[in-house]
Amino acid sequence: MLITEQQSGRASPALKTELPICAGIGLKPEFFNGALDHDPAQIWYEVHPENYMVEGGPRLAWLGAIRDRHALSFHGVGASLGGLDPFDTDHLAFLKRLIDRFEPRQVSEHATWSSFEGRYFADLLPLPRTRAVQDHMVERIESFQTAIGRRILIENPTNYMAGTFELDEPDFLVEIAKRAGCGLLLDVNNVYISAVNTGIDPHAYIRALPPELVGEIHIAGFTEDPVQGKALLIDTHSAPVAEPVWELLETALAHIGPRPVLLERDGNIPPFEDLLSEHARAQKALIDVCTQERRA
Amino acid sequence: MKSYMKAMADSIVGTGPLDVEAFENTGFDPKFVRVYSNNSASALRGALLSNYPSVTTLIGDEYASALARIYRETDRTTRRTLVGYGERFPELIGAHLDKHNLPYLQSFARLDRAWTQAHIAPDSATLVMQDLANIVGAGADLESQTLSLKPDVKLVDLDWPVLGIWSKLRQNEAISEAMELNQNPEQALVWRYQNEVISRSLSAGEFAFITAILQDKPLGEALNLAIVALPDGDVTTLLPKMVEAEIFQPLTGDTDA
Repeated sequence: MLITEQQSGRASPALKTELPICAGIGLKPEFFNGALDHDPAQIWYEVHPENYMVEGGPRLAWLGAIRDRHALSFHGVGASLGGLDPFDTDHLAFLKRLIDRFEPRQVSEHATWSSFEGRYFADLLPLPRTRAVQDHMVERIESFQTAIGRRILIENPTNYMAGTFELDEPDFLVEIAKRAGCGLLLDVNNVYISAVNTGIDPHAYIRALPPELVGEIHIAGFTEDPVQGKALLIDTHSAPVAEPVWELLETALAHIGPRPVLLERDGNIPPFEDLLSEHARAQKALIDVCTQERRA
Repeated sequence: MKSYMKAMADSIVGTGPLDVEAFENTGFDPKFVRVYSNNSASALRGALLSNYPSVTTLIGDEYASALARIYRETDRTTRRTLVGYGERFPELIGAHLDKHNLPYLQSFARLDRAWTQAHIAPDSATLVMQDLANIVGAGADLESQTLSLKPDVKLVDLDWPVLGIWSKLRQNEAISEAMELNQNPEQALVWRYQNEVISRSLSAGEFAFITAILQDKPLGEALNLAIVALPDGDVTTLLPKMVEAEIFQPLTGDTDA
């Protein structure tokens, strides 16, 4: 079932997403055949554009075939939006070419940094939540959006370090989004992991986000730190979505309303059919929230 | 923020003890800062091992991971994509022969690298036999033409004859019997055919021919070099076979009529 904004009873006035409001799956090469065979009305796909920053070959051909059948979203990991280095011009140019070629319905990035003095760390590193950093992020996101010619969503980070900050994370991100004219991508799994690791209230975090700013939701699985166990969760995307994250998804959908929900899986990749059962559960959560809204 | 980022970067790269003072103004408690180092190492290790699957299969995850760590420490990655990460890994394997004592390992690494290069190379139009027939039909001198390999075609000059084993490893075929490997050079061609990366071993004549093509020698001279390299071989079918393998780009420019 494809849910439209009319059916959901609530449009998102400030952030008109062009993705279908249904559940999607993070596309891995292992899923290409399954993805091509699946009903296009019930699913969309998201990729890291960095994995397609190649000059040619089957990888781009596969992505083109998916794009011809399904809605596609780009979720970048390499921009280093919060970094101090100038934007990598090769990366920006490649991203722009991919956007022009594949016309993704949504483009998102992370409210983090990942390079310093030219070196790329292949990880999403946390930003100090200060007003000065907020100003920096606004300027950087404006430049980034101008360079790629698209409005983006920025994703909340996974936090492993607790602390005392000038701003809490929702306030930090919301102000950035409002001033930079971007939207928010709410990663519910990241909120849950951050809550466990740093002691915040995940429900209060989600309720602090203005619904109209949120354009997409992510869910994924995590693993426990081999040393700290349950006290320190790692955002590995290598396990099924945990029950507390499913519960937080319900909180998020109830507060924000129906949004495209992406299921991410990057490690211990199961058969595509196995992932479809989790996809179906996310789809049901979306249908349930639409049903509740119509009754209300 | 710069001092914090430098401290975090140094922590990830592993250069000395953590600069705790640099975290003080950020509000962060760096107790679990190691998670970021672990995540970064894991991402780079995963990318390297996936780009060198035959090497990983041969020496196992644990030892491949140890080599990946050495590579990460010596390679200052700047590209924002990990597609093709590990460009210099074959050289690193060659430089650490005393540690792994597997002299043939570098040859496997070079083939893995060639596979990746072929896989992501730019798309290109293909020369077909009819193109050559058209040149002859137009009265041009075919032997004076200069052919160009497609961007995905990689010539790999190996120190050990491992192409057959490598192909089986890439296709997840079991190698059940003990195999004796003697150090003899082998020349391999790795390229994209019908959007799949394939490979084949080259005869001495074929290798001389492809090398001459890479050196922009005219077709006639390239064929003569193939004859010299393989005097008892049949080079009459060499060009048609290579054209059918779809390794050449279409001819450009004026023909020498």
